[in-house]
Amino acid sequence: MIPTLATTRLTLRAPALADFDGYARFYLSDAARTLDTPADRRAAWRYFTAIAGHWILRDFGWWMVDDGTGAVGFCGVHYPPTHPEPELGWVIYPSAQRRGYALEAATAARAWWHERGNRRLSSNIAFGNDASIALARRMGCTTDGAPLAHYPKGSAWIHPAPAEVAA
Amino acid sequence: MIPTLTTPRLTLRAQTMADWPSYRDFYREQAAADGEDFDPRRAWTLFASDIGHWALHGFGWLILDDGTGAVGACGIHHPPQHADVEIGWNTFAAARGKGYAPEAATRVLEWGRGLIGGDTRLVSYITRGNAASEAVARKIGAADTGTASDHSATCNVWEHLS
Repeated sequence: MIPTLATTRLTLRAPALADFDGYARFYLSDAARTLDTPADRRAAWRYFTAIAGHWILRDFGWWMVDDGTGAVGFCGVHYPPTHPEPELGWVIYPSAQRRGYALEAATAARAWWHERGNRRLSSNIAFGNDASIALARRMGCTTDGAPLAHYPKGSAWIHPAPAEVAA
Repeated sequence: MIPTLTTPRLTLRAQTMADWPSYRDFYREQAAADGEDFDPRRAWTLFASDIGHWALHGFGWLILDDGTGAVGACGIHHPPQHADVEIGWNTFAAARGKGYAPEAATRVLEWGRGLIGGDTRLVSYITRGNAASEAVARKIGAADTGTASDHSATCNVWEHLS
């Protein structure tokens, strides 16, 4: 049901029970401070099972990013009804950062989204999250800088449409 | 992967996006009853989590449909903070008082036993004093162990012996 994508170094795949510990540890750490985070491990379980649930409900969602050693982050498109539109997000756990994994995974996820006939995509990035802002720029995104109603600590970075990405 | 079960009056099925408004309204009412703020983002996480559980464990929650749409939820689940596999049930406000919960739970219990086997302990964690839930538990053959759960001091462990 959840497709698997392969990039040069990574596999984007369905979540498995073995991924939960690393996922919970990330979300309960300081590294997640700019995100909407669960309050505790119990809530983190809800966030984690919601990944697969989103796929079942929407037929798209987040993948776990696996570099061959296990899950090193998660990436994909999600669209809770509380969001104004589908959003591409990426998280690479601190121990696996600085290897270009986020760009590699996000590029593959966006290509998959475009191949499904979708045009519009945005990424909500917190003000001051310099690493993610740099990545969004590298992917050709632009922002008007306005705080989002549903995520006031950040703004929407709009991705180029499929034709612009290919050019 | 997610089965459809039937009872005399209900279909127990996988939830879909069409069930989201009913589910969201149920959590809004619960929040109001508990005197808490309602966050629809949290309700969405719970909604997606309830069906996502199936992908991780091979069992989870089903929506109760009486032919008019979603009127409740019932299923077996095992989040990591729970010591045992639990069967739980919710009836949405408009459908209460019709006996849907014991009807659905009886069917889920029967199906669940087939899945997890007779040796695995199956419980329900019920807040002490929640008479409605205690009545449902008793009706489907569970017994109050009298001991509080490990994860919540206000919930007793009711054991399903069949």
